[in-house]
Amino acid sequence: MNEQPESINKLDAGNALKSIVTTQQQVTNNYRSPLIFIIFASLSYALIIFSWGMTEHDNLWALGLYGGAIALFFAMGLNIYTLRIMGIKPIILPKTKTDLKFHLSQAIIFAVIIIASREVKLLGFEFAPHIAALIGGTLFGYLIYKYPFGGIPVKRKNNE
Amino acid sequence: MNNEGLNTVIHAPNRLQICALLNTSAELEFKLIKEQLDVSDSVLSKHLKVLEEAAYITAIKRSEVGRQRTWLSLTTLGRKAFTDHVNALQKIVGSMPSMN
Repeated sequence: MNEQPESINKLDAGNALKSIVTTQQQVTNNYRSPLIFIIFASLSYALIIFSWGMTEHDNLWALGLYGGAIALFFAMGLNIYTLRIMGIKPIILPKTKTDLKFHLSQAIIFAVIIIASREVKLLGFEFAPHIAALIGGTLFGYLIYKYPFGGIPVKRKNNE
Repeated sequence: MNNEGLNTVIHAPNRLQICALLNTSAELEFKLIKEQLDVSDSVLSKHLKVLEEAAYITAIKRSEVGRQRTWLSLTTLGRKAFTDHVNALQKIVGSMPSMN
């Protein structure tokens, strides 16, 4: 079923787009996870990156790696459970090509950050894990904040 | 005016909002959508029925923690129709499409 509306002018189309953007923003703002959770998840992820970069055979940073992974798993599990109680099931597996591109690009970026945190340190730059953890943690927090349910909302354009 | 991609089933204001909400996540509960739209059960059910008949959404009732909950989700066809509709609206407004 895909009937064509009789006629939609520029103003109607603009109002419809505004309605979509506003609706999506409202639900995102109303049901977004608390900031404290976002910070906790970001720090857990940063700890994983940092620990991976710092781990050597004669230190205990591997414990940080395991601790960070457990904390992140706990935080994300709690987040999904809380959203479900509120009536939202987030997108975990991509539903559209856009989602797939979005998830793949995230996976590549995070893989590069994690690998770089260790490899660049081995090349002699001592602060590589620090910088990688900062970038990775911040990016992870931004993504949870911006896309709390996993879906990509419609963007508002300047001329709408 | 080129209205290619526009869809009357989706374009009705409440149904447009329902699709916009469902597009943000995998599934949403009936009650949450009702609260967001600020409409009665019957009004929401009527719009959901239209979307369901067009095969744009699916409704599944599950019993969780002793109570019945109705979960709604966009079908693949529904996601495509919504994306096409948004792209068509953006084309009319004169902006580049932001959804693929």
